[in-house]
Amino acid sequence: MKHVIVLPALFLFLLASSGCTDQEERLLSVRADQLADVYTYGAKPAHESFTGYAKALYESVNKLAQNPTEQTLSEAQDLWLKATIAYKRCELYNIGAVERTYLSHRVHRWPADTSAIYKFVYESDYFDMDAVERAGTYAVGLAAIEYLLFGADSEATLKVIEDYEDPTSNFLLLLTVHLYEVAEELEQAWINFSEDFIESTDLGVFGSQNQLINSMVFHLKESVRYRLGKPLGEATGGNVQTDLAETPYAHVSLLTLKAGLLEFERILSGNYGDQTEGIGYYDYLTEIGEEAIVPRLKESVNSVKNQINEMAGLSPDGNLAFLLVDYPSSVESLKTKMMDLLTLVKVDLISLIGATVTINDTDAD
Amino acid sequence: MRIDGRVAWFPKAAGLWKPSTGLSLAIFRISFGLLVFISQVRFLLKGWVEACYLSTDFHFTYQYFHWVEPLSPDWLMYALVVVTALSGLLVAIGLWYRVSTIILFFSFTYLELIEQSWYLNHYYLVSLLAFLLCWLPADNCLSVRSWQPRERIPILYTNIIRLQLSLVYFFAGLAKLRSDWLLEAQPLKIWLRAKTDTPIIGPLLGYEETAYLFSYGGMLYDLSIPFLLWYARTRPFAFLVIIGFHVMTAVLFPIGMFPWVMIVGSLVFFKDEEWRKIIFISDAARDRFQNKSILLNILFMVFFSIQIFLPLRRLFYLENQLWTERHYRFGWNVMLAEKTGIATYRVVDPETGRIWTEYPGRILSATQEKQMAYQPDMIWQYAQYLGNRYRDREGIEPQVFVDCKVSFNGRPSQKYLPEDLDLMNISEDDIYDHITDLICK
Repeated sequence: MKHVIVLPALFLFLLASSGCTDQEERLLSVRADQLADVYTYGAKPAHESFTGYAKALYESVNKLAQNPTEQTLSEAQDLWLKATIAYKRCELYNIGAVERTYLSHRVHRWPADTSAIYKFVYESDYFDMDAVERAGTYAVGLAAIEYLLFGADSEATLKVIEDYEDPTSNFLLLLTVHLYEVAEELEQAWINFSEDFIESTDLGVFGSQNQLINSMVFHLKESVRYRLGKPLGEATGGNVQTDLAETPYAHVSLLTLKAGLLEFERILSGNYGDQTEGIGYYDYLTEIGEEAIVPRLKESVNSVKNQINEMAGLSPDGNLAFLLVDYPSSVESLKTKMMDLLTLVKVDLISLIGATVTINDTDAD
Repeated sequence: MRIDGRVAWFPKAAGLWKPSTGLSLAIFRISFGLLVFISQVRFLLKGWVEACYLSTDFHFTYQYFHWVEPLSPDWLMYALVVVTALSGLLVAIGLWYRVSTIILFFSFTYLELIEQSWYLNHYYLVSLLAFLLCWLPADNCLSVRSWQPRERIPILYTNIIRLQLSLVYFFAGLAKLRSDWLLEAQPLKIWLRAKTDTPIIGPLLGYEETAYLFSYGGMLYDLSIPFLLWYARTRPFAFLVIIGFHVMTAVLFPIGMFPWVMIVGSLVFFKDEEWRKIIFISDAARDRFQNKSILLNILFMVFFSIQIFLPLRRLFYLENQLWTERHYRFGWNVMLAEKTGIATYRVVDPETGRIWTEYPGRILSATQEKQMAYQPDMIWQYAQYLGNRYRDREGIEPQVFVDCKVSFNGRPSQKYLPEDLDLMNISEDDIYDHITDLICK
């Protein structure tokens, strides 16, 4: 009987004394380095960049309101695009305490609720910053600003802004002020969260690595379902709906998709650009002996990137609406490739790193 | 053989009819009732009534029980959980015992039957134990009705609970005699590696050797523990091992009440005489010997025949049950597979060729979506739901196809069902025959 107890105990003791702590410390260190890099080279600069462009957008729209010309409008539109591309990077970092602020809802929900915006601008007696802050999420943020900045053509847009009696320019200005404020709050939320994020090296459902991978899965799902699937008419029996593209007025949906994908790739590889070789999921997978999946992930990401580039050749300005009508098979192909990537991440990668898809704490056995 | 004028059904096992005070059975009744009470309170406090029963309109139900659905209005679901909790408490204190056990069995089982994606082996075990308690005089002592034993009861009735728990362990052990478990140490290799940050033992869990140790240890534990519990000399040791084993599983895995059910369940293996050293009750029960009818004995025989058949029916099929999931539930396949999947449906109108794509997350809860993605009967059920929905909404006779990929025990994901399989054209039982062969690494 004693052997039954002694033998396993001896085995455990031998294991414990054979340097196994080093292995765990190494894994812990890789996880900690990965999370620190995600914040330092990913989330932090992404939010700084977004805040910067949000501020520039506000200043530019202010200038446009005071001096509405083709040039000031073009500058404002250009800054909207830069702010939007910058925010695409931030979307992947909407996790933990930052997610729980729900500020992201006020930055970008699409398509813009044009009837709510119309009512706000033309049917309310008076609106100020407080009113904008209380407005529904589909009536504010990047999508609403896009709707007001990118009219049918620049002449029509300028005509509205030039009209002193028309409250649109005032509303547009308030929207950009609100966007800038939210961007600052988001940046601050990340600064406050950063310590917890970096220190949550545990592998449980609320560990940072787990939350990050879930955010990546969510991002891909959104792309497949809403950015591509809905415009393709998946919910309408195949009737294409160009107005459901992510940027139906600025027509840069392909660019925004690409921006999100590039950030996704950075998190996987740990290569955040500008010669910043950080630690990513590829390194962690190699460290735990699951490097076999890395080439498959790289191939899948490249396949999506190549498809986007190919489509950009068909529509240089990244106009998804044009592609949906003239080259629907190319959009379908992009969706299929993104679905393959989603499968690889949600099914294979998550299984290998022992993460939990979707944060929930129900029992299992 | 005749005992107290009754015919013993197992002449060679006349010891089964040995009279007892029923103290072990009573202790089991108390701990079981309290655990049910705690688990239902926990269910309420965690907001799982909403998450499991009320957050979605669609529910995955069990074959032959598709008629079971959540009670309406919503407050009735809360009431049902409260009733289950209270009946557990009443069983524990032994008040209105017979009625309480019957209510406990029906209410708990009804709750479990509503949503298949929340199936857990220990929920099933609780239903079985509650069913058995309905027929057993577990309130013979230590109850509100009577602290001292009211009458002598056959030891068989205590042994019935012991047998049920032994079957759980034994078949759980048999289920581990599979190549993935023994040769690859899967899925423990994946799960333990994700637990290396556990205090004290965490550093050990990253080692492959530890996964093998846990795999073989777990298998040997399940296969041997019922025998060690039955044997008086090894019983104290077995009980210590049980505590150690289940506390460790509770620390490492999110398995809720299961470890505690098994720990308190094992208390029933201690004999009345052993308990009487701790709890003072009289051994001088009245002479009346309580033996139930022959019909009841037949009921138990049928019950245990089914209990033995259900885990073994997988042997009729030459397939990897962990992959196909055929007859997976109710077979004590405990923690044997790490599976993740993803499923997307296509609804097609064959007349016009129009295609709708359905992402399950649009209608299902996160738990439902996750569980459905690799369980064929649920994949089929959801297809029927979509088909009927489109039939009503679009006025068409739709075909429903699924694009489903599954990863199993660390293997790369692979297609689970043919993409051109019209799920509206096959029965729930047929779907298992269409599952693609598992490609090993």
